[in-house]
Amino acid sequence: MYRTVAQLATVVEQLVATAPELCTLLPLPQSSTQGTPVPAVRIAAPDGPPIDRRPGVLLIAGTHARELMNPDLLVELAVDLVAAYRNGTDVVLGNRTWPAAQLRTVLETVALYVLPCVNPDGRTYVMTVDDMWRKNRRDNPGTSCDGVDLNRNADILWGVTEGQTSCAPCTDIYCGSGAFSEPENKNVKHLLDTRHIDHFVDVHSFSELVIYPWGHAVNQTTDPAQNFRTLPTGTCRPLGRPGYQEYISADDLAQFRQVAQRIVDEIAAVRGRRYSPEPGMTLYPTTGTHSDYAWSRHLADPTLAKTYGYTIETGPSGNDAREAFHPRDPEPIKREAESGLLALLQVAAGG
Amino acid sequence: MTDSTPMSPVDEPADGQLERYEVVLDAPPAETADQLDARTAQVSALDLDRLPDRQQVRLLVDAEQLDRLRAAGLQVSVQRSVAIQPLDPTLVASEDDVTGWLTARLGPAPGAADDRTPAPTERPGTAPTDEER
Repeated sequence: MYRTVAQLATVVEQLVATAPELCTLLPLPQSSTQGTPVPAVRIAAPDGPPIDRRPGVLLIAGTHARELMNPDLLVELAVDLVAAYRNGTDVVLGNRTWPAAQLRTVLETVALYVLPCVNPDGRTYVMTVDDMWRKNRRDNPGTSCDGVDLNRNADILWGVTEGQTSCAPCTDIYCGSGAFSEPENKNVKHLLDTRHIDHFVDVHSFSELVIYPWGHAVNQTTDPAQNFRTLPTGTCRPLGRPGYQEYISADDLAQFRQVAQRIVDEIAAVRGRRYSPEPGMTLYPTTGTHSDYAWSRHLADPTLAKTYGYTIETGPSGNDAREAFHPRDPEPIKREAESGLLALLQVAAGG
Repeated sequence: MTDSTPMSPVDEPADGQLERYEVVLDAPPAETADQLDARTAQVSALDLDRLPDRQQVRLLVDAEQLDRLRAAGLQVSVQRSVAIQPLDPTLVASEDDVTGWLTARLGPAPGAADDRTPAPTERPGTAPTDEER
């Protein structure tokens, strides 16, 4: 079963009302394109270091409207954490049990930020009109076509139409009229700008992947001069540099691989599904994605700290896209993904 | 923002489409990596919605886009037609589903008639800032 936008908000509101010592409602500055308020919640136990000095983790979902499982997954994760903390109950996810004591330590160490549904208008449209809708509900002026692909709209090589990115408003991969033109994405940027976020995950569906940078080009670790800051943006053209490879330091690449593998292992512990850890480019080239943007920020502005950015693609490809985007029984997929996200939280907590 | 109003259709597909098609590009026998790259570059140039499938080039397209794929000389297999329709209503949670699950996990909502829990005590220094309220 999939919750409506209002029901997702109800869960967040009740979490905050029930456990105010743990949960803080974070009203975000932008309503959606069609005026829906977008809530986020911070979850952090009062015992432990000051919250603003803790490692921060930001989890978002629902960027692509039709990928319905993931907003439900995030509110269920939040509820499980709060229940574990307050009641001392372990979180049992298939064959993997997360002991309450470990989760308590996580909540006393980390500041967790959860934005369950980035794109509420799109989710409502999926439930009421078109269950394969992907974008937000922006009315694109001068066209009969609606929507911006919110995972092509961030300020990392925005408007470079490498691979699966387009400047054409009628496509499903339209990058919008400018970087962060969309209010839904301004909310994500707001959280990255105003909170100390060490780890960021954007949860999508499907194909059982744990993705890390980069999405626009093959990674290389030897030539720091070959990097995205030297590339033009907003061109509405592909990179146009045959053989271009994007720099990432060997240490950072090793860190991404190590953490991605940890997530993969903890997903597999639930029921044996083996997700694949890999750079985004391996799936298909993209620009303007949330997770690459999160990672790029400290490179574009050296005064910023690193935010390790991941995209998790939940669920198998199958052979029917409708069933893959919103399976009749999403429970096993949500539980394994929850285990992967708990693994990331544990990494953030130093465990 | 809690809204218990039953959902009803709020809009209609703007362009009058009735269906899309889920398609895969047929790989020629013994395709080389370069040939695969060339084929996927053709798809990218057509600005189509490629589904996240690592095993094959798989897309969700409308009739006009399907024609463009074929006009580009790509071999396409239509896997199924996908009607443009709302999510199956049986997959949407009811208010009772949500309330029952929350109560089972967290206890009754504060202030609810069956709430027997004491009001949570705010610990010093943990109150949300004005910005966060």
